[in-house]
Amino acid sequence: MTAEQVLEVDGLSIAAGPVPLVHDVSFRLRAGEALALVGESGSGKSMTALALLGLLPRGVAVTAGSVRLLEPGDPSPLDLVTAGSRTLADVRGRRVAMVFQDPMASLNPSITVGEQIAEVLRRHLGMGRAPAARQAVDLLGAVGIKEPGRRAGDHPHTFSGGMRQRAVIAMALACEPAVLIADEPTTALDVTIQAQILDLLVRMQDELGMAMLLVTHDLGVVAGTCHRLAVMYAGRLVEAGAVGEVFDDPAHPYTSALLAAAPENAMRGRKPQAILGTVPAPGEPPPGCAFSSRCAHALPDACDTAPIELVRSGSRSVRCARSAELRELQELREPAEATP
Amino acid sequence: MSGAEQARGGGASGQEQRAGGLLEARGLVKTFGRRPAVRDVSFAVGAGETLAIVGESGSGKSTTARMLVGLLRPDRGQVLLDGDDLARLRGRALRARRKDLQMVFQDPLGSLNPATRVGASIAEPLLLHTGLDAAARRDRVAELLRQVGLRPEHADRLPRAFSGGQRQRIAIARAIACGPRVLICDEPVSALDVSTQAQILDLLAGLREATGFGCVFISHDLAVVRLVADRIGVMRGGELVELGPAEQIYTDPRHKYTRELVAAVPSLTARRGSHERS
Repeated sequence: MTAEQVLEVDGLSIAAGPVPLVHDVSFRLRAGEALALVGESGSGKSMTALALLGLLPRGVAVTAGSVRLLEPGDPSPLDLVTAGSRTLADVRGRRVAMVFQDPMASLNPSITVGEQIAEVLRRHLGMGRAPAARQAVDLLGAVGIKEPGRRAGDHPHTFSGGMRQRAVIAMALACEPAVLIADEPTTALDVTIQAQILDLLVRMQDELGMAMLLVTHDLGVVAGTCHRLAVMYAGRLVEAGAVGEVFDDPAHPYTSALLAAAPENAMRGRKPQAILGTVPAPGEPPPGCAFSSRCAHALPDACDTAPIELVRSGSRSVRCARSAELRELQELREPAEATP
Repeated sequence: MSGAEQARGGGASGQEQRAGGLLEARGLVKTFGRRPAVRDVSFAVGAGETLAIVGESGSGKSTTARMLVGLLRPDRGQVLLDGDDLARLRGRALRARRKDLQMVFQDPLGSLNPATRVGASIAEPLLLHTGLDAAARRDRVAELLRQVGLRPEHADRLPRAFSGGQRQRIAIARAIACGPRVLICDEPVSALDVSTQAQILDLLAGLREATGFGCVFISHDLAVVRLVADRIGVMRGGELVELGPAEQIYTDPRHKYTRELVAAVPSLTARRGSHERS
């Protein structure tokens, strides 16, 4: 049985004044599903995530597209792009919650952790002071904080980085949102803590049946955590599909190159391969494929003159003029037994 | 048991290296206030060898790096270059030694003056440590830029005109300008995009091959150091808990914490089960 769709992003474009940052991004999220939005710095992945909740920085705005939040049986879903600030404030934290890279950005240093979580419950769910405080303690326990009753009375600065991120996750999940947006949630954490936080996110997602959008630069993080991924390059989606299919048989040369560049390859005795060159600066998009100047498979005329369309076939989408041909030749797959 | 004693569990190769060490850390101790940051850390690096020091935040790895280059004075212990205790050197002798020991930081913007053209930044150590005249310095800067994969005309630009990876190339050009014998790299690729990391690791490996410097490579990431390190030291809580040949650290880690670190590296082949359960 297919789970119901909870979020529908259609043709989303974002610009900073005259400079386009994100162009025509579309994706869907179903209940219980984890989608990774993958890209390097400047790819537009974080801007896309921020736009979903109306959190774009000053001077940056959505220029086209819609972000529909769907509810079963609701005939007129809410468009978060056109929603007013009061509607957005009500949606944030209740129906769609967000976890950022730096937990201190989401925590008030002068208020105890328990009070901050209780406040979310009181504001969004109208809970009374005492039940909200009890619920906050339960939530801290659920995200793996030991002695939650005692720790609820502590201020954020007494928590370690990993514990702070757990507290932020407890706060984000307080109202059992339909969608969790996690923007590089483990990037600032130590690797042993990262594994624990990813486990926690997956477990909570399964328990609550919520959808998760994981924004990350790290394919290693995606592999064991997400069901599908969407790869962005220079503000556009270049490939999307199921994690297993895309990792095993990438359809875009950039996805293939990114997989080959991942440092985790070294753990299986494969030398990470550098991608030569640099990302084009925003506002200076080349006429054709933005990756063509760095692509080992680019052909003059075919790739660098006219915009390339995103082509869907089944559950896979790819934006590459030569994709079909290259996959036929198995040019984009890594050799099965490469040596370092 | 002290960190140094445990570290010797890493095998006989550690002892051999110690004897022929170009740079040697001997019983380094550093305490900030009442918090011990580094407790009795010893290791040695030979010419042409890369020793990676791996640890998580608070492990003392960066404090150790800063003591190696003299940015921090150890409370106890010594840093020896060719057997000379750097803390005892003064004046001209110290300056001569300083040029043999150079450092590359995580954030290249922090080590490049934003208002100084990159050519002048790279030439600065040449001015300090060599007798080259202006024309010879210009030639040497052009050669260095080429060596790190940039172009001579880049010398006239300011750091902000470059991407993160290019800035790290500039910082490396500056660090190798006077032909150091040891390069200390403190998380040199941690701030870079994945696609650029391998470029910089390749560059460092190529330069090491070409010039034969010894390298201490500080990192939080076991995957990143896998292909650059000959030996790996694992630090935790200020102690070197394991030191051994790189291959052994991955395939046969002795210390429980090393095993945890190896296991925590995300796997590209891991898959999550389907979300559509009936």
